[in-house]
Amino acid sequence: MLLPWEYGVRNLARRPIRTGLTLLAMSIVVSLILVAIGFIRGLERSLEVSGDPDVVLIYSLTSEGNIENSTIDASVPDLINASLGAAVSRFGVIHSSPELFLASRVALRSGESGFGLIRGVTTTAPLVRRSVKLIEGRWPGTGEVIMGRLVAAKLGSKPDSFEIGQEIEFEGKKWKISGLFAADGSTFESEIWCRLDDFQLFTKRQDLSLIAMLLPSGGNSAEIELFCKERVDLELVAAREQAYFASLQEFYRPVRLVAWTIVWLVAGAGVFAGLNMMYGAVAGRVREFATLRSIGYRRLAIFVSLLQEGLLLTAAASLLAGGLGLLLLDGLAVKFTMGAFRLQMDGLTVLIGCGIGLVLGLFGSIPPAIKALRAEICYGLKAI
Amino acid sequence: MKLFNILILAAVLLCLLGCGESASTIPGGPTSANFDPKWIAAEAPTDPLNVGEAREKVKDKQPIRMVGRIGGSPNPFVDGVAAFTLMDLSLPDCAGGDCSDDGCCTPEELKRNLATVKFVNDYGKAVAVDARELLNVDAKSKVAVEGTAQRDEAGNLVVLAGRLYVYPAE
Repeated sequence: MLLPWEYGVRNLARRPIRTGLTLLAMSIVVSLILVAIGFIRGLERSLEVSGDPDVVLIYSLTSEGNIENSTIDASVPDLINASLGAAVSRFGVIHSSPELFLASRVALRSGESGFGLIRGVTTTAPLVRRSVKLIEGRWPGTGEVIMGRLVAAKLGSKPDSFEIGQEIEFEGKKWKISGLFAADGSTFESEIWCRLDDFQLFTKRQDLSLIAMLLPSGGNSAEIELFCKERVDLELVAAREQAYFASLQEFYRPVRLVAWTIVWLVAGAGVFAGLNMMYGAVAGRVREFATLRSIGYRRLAIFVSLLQEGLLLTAAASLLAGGLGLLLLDGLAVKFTMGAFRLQMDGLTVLIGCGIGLVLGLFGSIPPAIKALRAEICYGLKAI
Repeated sequence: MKLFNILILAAVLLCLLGCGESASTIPGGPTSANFDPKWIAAEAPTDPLNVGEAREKVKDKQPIRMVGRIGGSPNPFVDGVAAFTLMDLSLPDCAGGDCSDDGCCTPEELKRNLATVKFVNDYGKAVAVDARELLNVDAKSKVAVEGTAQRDEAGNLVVLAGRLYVYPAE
């Protein structure tokens, strides 16, 4: 016969301070796990949504896959548009976006500064970069920029530093903010966009970093890839944007491995914290267990009741941590080398975090429960 | 007797392993469902030009026999099309990847010794099957191709190929 469900629940309330402290400790452990998993999921999502399956990037063969290092001749877009008919064309406008992309020190009026990612674009950019939506203001004119939603996080400054009409400075020139844009959480959101001709003028560069071309839905990029192979003199390489970001996922694999290591280390520490708490909790209850056994409850019934207590406590801690995570951590901007992304407290993150929390409760309860039930009834009844 | 049996078994195993190895490296062997032997030449063409030499000598629309090694970039193939880049045999193997390594060729050297090979159908269009599958070749395979040269003003050489010979692995 098992002990009544209420017995375990009431036991938790009998020692409110101990229960409260255990709950707090487990909540912190689960919260740390949630932060680490949210970081991994956020980074993965940011790179996943950044790659449009219908967009092909053309960049320099010698850039070794890093677009910031890429430099191609400014005549290449015209050459490609004249030679190939692969890109989407509507009303005579070819959906091909020549871009100059680089990192530069950005100074704010408040005196703060940091390395920002700046992309010089033309009016064809929104036709190709379909996730980008202007959410406030207007398209930049001469000497103006539009800012992604995560630029503040990337620069480590306050979001109110980037209001429309304010000025920022980079490449030795003051630029006025004319608009703000969103891009479905992709890496574009941590970028500053300005007019390509302006950017080339102030960086004293005539070249481009890349050309992004939009193919018809499900279109084949082989024609573009073949063109790049045939024109050896141009030193170009073409890659699907999705494949490019998939290669970045691979590049950031060590970061994700470190984050997962942190998850397991924190979880391991959580198991030991749980063990410690549960040992303390059952140590003073040896007489109670002996009494239960003397009135007829079997060891298994008491063991199950102890597991129930541990699981209830960690379930509550997981719920608390999950709730706090969703309220306080979800969407929190995190800065990293190639931009910024938001912590992702989605269903999977909460499921993994809470799952680990429950496992901690289960495995944290088993050893102390075994130890407590090993004592003989006669000795247990005499225990102080 | 027991030792003799073990020796026999070991010999049979070694033979089997040896057979497996050679079967997988037969150049041009039919390993893919898209493999088409009609593109494969039974014998190597006589006096083929090396890639660098061909870039200097061959004119537009001239018939060409060229030998080289598939490479020139980390991915010398074009996905979904029977085309690849061929580099001069004098270039080191590392030219297939990172040319910035010490002792390897410079990008300029690579450009002077690189050509594109494209297998075309009767209409002059590139065959829409990946070269790795159609021809059973891989990066760094030493091959010879026969076809027609296509030159442009920038000096690029594209071979519109009809036949390929894969040299046995050295």
